[in-house]
Amino acid sequence: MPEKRATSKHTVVNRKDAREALRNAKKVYDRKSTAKPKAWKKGGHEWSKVLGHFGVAGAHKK
Amino acid sequence: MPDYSKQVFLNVPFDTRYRKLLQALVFVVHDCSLTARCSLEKEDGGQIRLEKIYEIIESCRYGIHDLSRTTLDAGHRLPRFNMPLELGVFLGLRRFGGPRQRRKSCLILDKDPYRYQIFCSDIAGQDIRSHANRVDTAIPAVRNWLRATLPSSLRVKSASSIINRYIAFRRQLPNAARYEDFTVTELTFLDYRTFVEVWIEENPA
Repeated sequence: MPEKRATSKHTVVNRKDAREALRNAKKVYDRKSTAKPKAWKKGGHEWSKVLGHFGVAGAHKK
Repeated sequence: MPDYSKQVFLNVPFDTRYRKLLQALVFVVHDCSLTARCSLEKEDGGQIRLEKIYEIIESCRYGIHDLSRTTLDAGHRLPRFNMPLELGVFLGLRRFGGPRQRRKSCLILDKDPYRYQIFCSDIAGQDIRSHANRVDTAIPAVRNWLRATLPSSLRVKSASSIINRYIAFRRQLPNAARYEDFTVTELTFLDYRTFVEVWIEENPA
C-alpha cells in the first residue's frame, strides 16, 4: 500500500505528482505480482505436496 | 497551441454508467499517440456551454461520437439529444469549414450495430461501429478506426496489446490515485487524462 502524501487534499493532479504516484503504485504492483504464493495457498509448496499425496498431476517433486 | 491533427474530440455520455467506457476511450486514444479532448476539460462557468464545445470541436481533427444514450428517459419519456447535436456540429464544420476543417474524420459508436437506422438514418455512410457497452469491444473498434484513419507512417499497437496495457494501467491506478489522496471515482477528466499520459510515457510499448 503506498503511503499517502502528507499534504492536504489536492484539487488537481499535475504531471510531476502523477509520475511519482504511478512509480509508487508500480512498485507495489510489481511486489505483489512477483510474491511467492504462501505454502498452504493454492500453488504453494505445501499445497503441491498434498496434491502429490493424492497422486494429482503438478504435485511437488523432490 | 495543440497540434490539430493529434486531437480527438470525445462526444460521449458523462454519466457514471458510461465512465468505464469513457476512461477506456481516453486510454486507447492516448495509446495511439493522440490526445483526448472533451467538454469536461473546461470548467469556465462564464462561458456558454455550446461555445466551449465549438472551440474544442474546431481544434480537433478527429471525433468519436457515442449515440448509445439516445434512449427514452424514464421520467420524461424523452431522449437526450446533446450527442446527436454535437455530432451535427462536427459534421457541419467538416462540410462548410475551411480546408483544415474539411480534413476532419469521425467515428460513430452505438451499443447495437444498426440501431441508429431507427432514430438517425441520415448518418448512414459514416463510419459506425457498435461496442455493446463493453470495454473489450470499444477498444478494438476505436483502435481499428484509428488504424484506418491515421497516416500509415504512424505506428498503432494491436488491439490486444492496448487491452493488456489498459489492464496493467487500471491495476496501478487505484494505488496511484490513493497516493495523491484521491479515489478513482473522484478523479476528474483532466486528472484521469494526466495519469494516462504519464503512465504511457513511463511504459512505452
